[in-house]
Amino acid sequence: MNKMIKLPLFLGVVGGLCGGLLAATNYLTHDKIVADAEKRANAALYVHFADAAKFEDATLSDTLTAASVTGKKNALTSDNNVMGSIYFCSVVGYAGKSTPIEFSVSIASGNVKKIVVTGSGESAAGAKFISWVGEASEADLNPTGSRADTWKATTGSSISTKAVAIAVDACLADYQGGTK
Amino acid sequence: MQVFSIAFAALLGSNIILSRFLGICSFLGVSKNRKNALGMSIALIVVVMLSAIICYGLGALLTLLGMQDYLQLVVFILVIASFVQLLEFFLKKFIPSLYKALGVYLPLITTNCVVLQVCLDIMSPDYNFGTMLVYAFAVPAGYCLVMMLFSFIRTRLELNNADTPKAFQGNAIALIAAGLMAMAFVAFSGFAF
Amino acid sequence: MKKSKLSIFMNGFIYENPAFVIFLGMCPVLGTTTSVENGVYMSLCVLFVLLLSNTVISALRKIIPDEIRLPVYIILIATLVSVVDMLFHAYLDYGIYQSLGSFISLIVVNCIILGRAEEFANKNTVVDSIFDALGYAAGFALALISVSFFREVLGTGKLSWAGNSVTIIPEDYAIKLFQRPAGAFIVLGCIVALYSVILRLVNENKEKKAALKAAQEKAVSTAEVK
Repeated sequence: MNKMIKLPLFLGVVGGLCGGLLAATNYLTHDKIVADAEKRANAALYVHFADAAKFEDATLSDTLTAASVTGKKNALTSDNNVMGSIYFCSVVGYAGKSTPIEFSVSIASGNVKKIVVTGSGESAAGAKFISWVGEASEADLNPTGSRADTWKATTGSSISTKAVAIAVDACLADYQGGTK
Repeated sequence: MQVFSIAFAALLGSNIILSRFLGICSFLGVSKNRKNALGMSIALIVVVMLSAIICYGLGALLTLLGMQDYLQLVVFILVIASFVQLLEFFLKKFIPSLYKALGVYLPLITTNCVVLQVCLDIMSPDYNFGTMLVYAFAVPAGYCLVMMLFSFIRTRLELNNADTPKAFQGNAIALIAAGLMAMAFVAFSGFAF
Repeated sequence: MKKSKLSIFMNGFIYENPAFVIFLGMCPVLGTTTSVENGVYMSLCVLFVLLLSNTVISALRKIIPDEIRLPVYIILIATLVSVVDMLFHAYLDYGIYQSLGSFISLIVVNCIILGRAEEFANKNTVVDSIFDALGYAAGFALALISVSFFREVLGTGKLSWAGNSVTIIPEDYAIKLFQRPAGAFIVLGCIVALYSVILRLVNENKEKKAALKAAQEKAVSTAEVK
């Protein structure tokens, strides 16, 4: 066969075979990689609901925005039922407006499940509250009395506690008045 | 300002040789002779810049077709290899003195990690065409800087070879010298713009 | 001259150790050795690519036209590396994948692989090429594991594998420098020096044995003549 045809043909065959192998491997691995990447990007969300299939954004009502809530996401099961919601809040504590307390609170089955503080500039009593609320059990997060007063009694902080408690109350009210 | 921070990071802060460990083989192999080091560095700047431009375009095409995940490596390395062949041919015909000076180091640029790494880096969505050009110039410029500095040090090491313990002569003492250089360059990593 | 399989293996493993003697493929030896776990996974990737590329290229050596052999090798090696990269990303630990980073992709420009393909695989049988690949991959693994061992123990004080760790030096005495780029260069420099001493002793021993054998044979042949 003529050299001019043989060489590019051979290259083409090799290229085609290799391209095929690559496409096959890609087909095998692509979905897994994408799912993995999504899990990693949403790590903060999976802390609240480890069993969720996926998360979707939800719209904020005006009352929520007024209560310093900056975002809301619904956690969905694999058959698209809402298993709970995560609210992202930014409230002003004792440290002031320049360093707000930023946290996410998850609510399911009418109770506050978990609070994760992602940023704050608090010190002393405020800091004590921050570290306590991150580790608090579900019972502590849902006291029978006023949330602000009970938490203040436990941690000694008043201003930061009240700010967070008001926001959490608003989220709970939104959750209970909403879809579930 | 962003351009400056990219250039500074690529040149000094995360220097491609001392911080990211790329291009080490040529770093050790070529730096014994100052002239070779300079020739290699300049050839590398040319190859990296032009390959980056070609790979940027091809990368955009692949992304459009959705095949970038699995085809980009094969396509890029073929582009680089062909480009180096072309450059060799071009230099041999039009600038034979440079071709002779570079000698065997020109085809070795194909296997130089720096070229491929830059082409893979610019696939990131952070870069537009302008910042890509800056990056593609600053990285081999950083390589050039470190190569030249190291060749000065290496020349002295070679001259004082008798003083070096026998086990360390050659590449071992060169590696330790490179380690000291790396320590010095850590100073640049603290800058934030 | 027919070489024994063991000598082919030992050539790549000891006498022409890629990182310590011929200084090819240095970038991963410095870049992926922050922990022994990373080093092991990296050497496994290189083993996979080198073994398959040597085997395939040796098997096809009579068919590949000489003029286009380099582009063909490059396509083959790049394909193998992409496959390893995708499989690693999907099925193995993400933490390790992230620390290895782009070094897996950079295996494609690792001089060892193209070098062995060009110098050995395209001239020798498949079985010989397999042993050659095993030898060089083992040599590379030796380099990676020894460098990463010192970097991890001296730099963090402990050895870890899959989340479990064994403390060897109390953490207060660990020198963080060894986890940094500068430490990598220094550790490698020292190990290269040590290796050159060991290799010199091994070679001297080999030469002594060969000289002794030659002298014995000479004595036997002169005795026979008598």
